[in-house]
Amino acid sequence: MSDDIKEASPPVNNPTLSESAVLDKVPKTSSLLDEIRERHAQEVCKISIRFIPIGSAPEITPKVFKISSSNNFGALLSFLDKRLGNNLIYGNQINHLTGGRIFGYLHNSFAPSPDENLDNLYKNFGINGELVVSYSDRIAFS
Amino acid sequence: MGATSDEDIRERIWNGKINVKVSLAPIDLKVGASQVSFYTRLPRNSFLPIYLPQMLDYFASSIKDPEWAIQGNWWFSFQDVPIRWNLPIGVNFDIMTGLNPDEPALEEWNIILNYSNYPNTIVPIFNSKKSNGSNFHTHDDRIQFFHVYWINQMKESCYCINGNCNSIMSLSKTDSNLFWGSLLSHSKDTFMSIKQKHLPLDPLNIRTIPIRIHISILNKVIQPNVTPTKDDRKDLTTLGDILQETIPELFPSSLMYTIAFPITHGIKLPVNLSLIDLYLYFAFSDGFVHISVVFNQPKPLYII
Repeated sequence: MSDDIKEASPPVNNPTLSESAVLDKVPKTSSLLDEIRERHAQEVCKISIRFIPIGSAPEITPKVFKISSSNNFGALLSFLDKRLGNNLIYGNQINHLTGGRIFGYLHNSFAPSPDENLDNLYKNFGINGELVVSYSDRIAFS
Repeated sequence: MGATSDEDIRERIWNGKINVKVSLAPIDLKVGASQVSFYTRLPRNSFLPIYLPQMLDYFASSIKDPEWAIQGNWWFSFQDVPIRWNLPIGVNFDIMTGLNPDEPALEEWNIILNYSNYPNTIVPIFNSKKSNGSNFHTHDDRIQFFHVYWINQMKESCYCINGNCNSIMSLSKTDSNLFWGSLLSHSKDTFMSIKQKHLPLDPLNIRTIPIRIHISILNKVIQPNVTPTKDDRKDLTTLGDILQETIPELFPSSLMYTIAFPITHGIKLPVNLSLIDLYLYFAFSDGFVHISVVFNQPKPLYII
């Protein structure tokens, strides 16, 4: 039984005036966009995330959590920061893209941008029904 | 008329530029200073953080607090919407203007350079307390953060293509520095020669194509898991295939570009373009193909 990660949805940009102007002229496009939104809302599901510590990073229990696929990678980092932040040695590196102390990697190779969507990451980099995220308290792979 | 060679096409794509007019946000102007604008041509295939220092040099005497010119968090906006510094300049331009390449072009892209009120809708760049007590970082710090960001995007694309990041992680120190340097100086030949090392000799051996489809009005980026050939391993996957599969509402199978069409580098792409060619010609310098979905507009009616 895995725990759920509950993160608030990230705030998103409004459309530019230029973008909205087109839709005002084409009502049919607006309704198609609504269809897409509807379909995407139905496709949202829970993704299993397996966390693996790197080096001296503290362990987390349990190791597997579930999170809504509508979240971004940053939600995972934010979650780890909240769970583990107090156990980290003071003076370690700050992750400049999150303000936290945790760095997250996929396939022990690359750090996705915090604004990358988890559904995309799972589709492309998931293994055996899980997205395996290794985490560190400093930059791990360069 | 002579045929355009592969190299010509890559050269033109690499050299694509946008006229940009940058103005300082009124709230960040020194009291009493008049608005000045910085006119420049920026490569589509590069990133705003690389060009920020020269803009700040230009605006230095107009900025409310002179300290901000050398350190701090600047951000760009267009029509009051924050621009994503982590996307290539050309991608931001195509997405945010929604321009149809068949229509007359914008003379210049009017963007604002802001200091105050860093928005929460774009990836932040956090300050860290430095040992000397200052809690802002300099241009050098910021460009180093961007370096790390960029190389990770490059590694992600490398993983898509090869199933591992070995070719990037095993680059010599010299080649790593050349790679980064070529991005900074926008030097195509050096960049491409190192990029080449991350591609299989036979493009059919590409594992999956790194591609991002932006439907900006939905705040959605789709990164499909797509192979260069279809299930039968004989037919090449085309752009039309992947658009139909990911956004069938906008790309119904029998009517291709009636509702919307795909743009990259300001070019309307043909529906039968193979994903391999799409990648080899049009990938950006972060390792990804970026497609912007632009909507057809009705032609104006003329009443006689």
